[in-house]
Amino acid sequence: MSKIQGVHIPADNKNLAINGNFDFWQRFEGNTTTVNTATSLNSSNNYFADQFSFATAGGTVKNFSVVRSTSVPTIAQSGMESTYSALFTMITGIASPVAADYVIPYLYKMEGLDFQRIYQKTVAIGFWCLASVPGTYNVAITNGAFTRSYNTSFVIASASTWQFVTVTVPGDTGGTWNFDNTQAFVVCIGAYAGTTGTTSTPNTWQTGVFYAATGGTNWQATSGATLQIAQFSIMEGALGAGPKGFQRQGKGLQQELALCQRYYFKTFLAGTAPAQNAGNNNIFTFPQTVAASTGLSTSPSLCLPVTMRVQPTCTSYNPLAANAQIRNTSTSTDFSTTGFVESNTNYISVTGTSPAGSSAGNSCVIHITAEAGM
Amino acid sequence: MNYQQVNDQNSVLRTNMITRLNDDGTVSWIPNDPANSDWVAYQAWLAAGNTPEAPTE
Repeated sequence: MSKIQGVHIPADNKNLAINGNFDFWQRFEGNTTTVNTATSLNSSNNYFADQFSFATAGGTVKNFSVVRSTSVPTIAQSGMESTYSALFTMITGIASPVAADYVIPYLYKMEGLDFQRIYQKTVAIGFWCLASVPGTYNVAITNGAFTRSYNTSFVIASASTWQFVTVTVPGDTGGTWNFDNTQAFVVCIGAYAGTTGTTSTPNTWQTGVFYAATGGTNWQATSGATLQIAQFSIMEGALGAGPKGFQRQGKGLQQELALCQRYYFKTFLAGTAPAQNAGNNNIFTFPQTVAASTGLSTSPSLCLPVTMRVQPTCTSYNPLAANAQIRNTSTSTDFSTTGFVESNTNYISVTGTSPAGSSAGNSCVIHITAEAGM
Repeated sequence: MNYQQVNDQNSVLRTNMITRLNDDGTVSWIPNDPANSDWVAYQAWLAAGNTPEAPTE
């Protein structure tokens, strides 16, 4: 550690956010995610880019979309040639949210094992932002249990113009924080909320969860309003990355992907969104272990590229038909009762009942996704 | 979206796994891991008074 003019500068001044450059969109590969519902959405299914999700609550129907965009700040602006940003569009404006309503366009959840480093320390959260509605935008930080929160804001002075945003957040010395493999430090950008989720005391840590502060602009009231972010960073200390200092957490793109794969893995090729009947590229291939229809045939363990955060939720996809069954490519017939057995953080095994007319030793294929998001 | 219990090959109910029948027709296998977000969501769904479908015979 060292100090310059009293400013804390960590010895390893790195970006602690994974996929802050929005390089990876494994779940949807950038396809538009559209939500039109009044149901609260706070599950791991809400990821659009790797590590970035949205959340909503309250009875008002929320109608919005998130998509991968190739509009990014220029290299003259940011000092880095990025490929993608995230583009949130409020399709139908909500002029008067009810008390329990909120829409959080961007959530970043840091795992407790990573949060250990910045517990009770000041952090700088930085990103490039382009918004269609000028005004004061909310940033909220919460603990993993959503019992503590800190609210601050930033100002968008000009519509539809990339500008760099940095907010400084002191460490919280109260509350309960997670230091394990569960979510610990949650960053919420651009939220607007009804009275329940709005605080009148920003810029201080407090008990309770608030996503917005009084005085914030209800940019979500405008149908078609957009909020776009790029080059997101969380850095220890108050200095932050600065407008031209963004770096990925990983040393190169491959390491960044490995960091993402702790939370999500798929056998599909990069660039291919998971789907049934997507073709037999990069499939998991294994031999059938039993004769036809004589019992369950279980695959060898598929070794995951990195240890996942938790035992993942697994979903199967038939590469060559519109169902979720294992395909026997030797007979061009499908298994039945395809499922998963004893998957853990390092391995996945798939099983199913072999089809009639098949034989032990036949070649079998399947695509798999493994979800371990927070 | 709904949940369904699953049996093992001996027709014994598996307590280490629940399946989620997704709206897009896929089936997700959710392990009994208290830190798995989908398992947490399933527990909340149960706590709300819902009941999963019985296993397919």
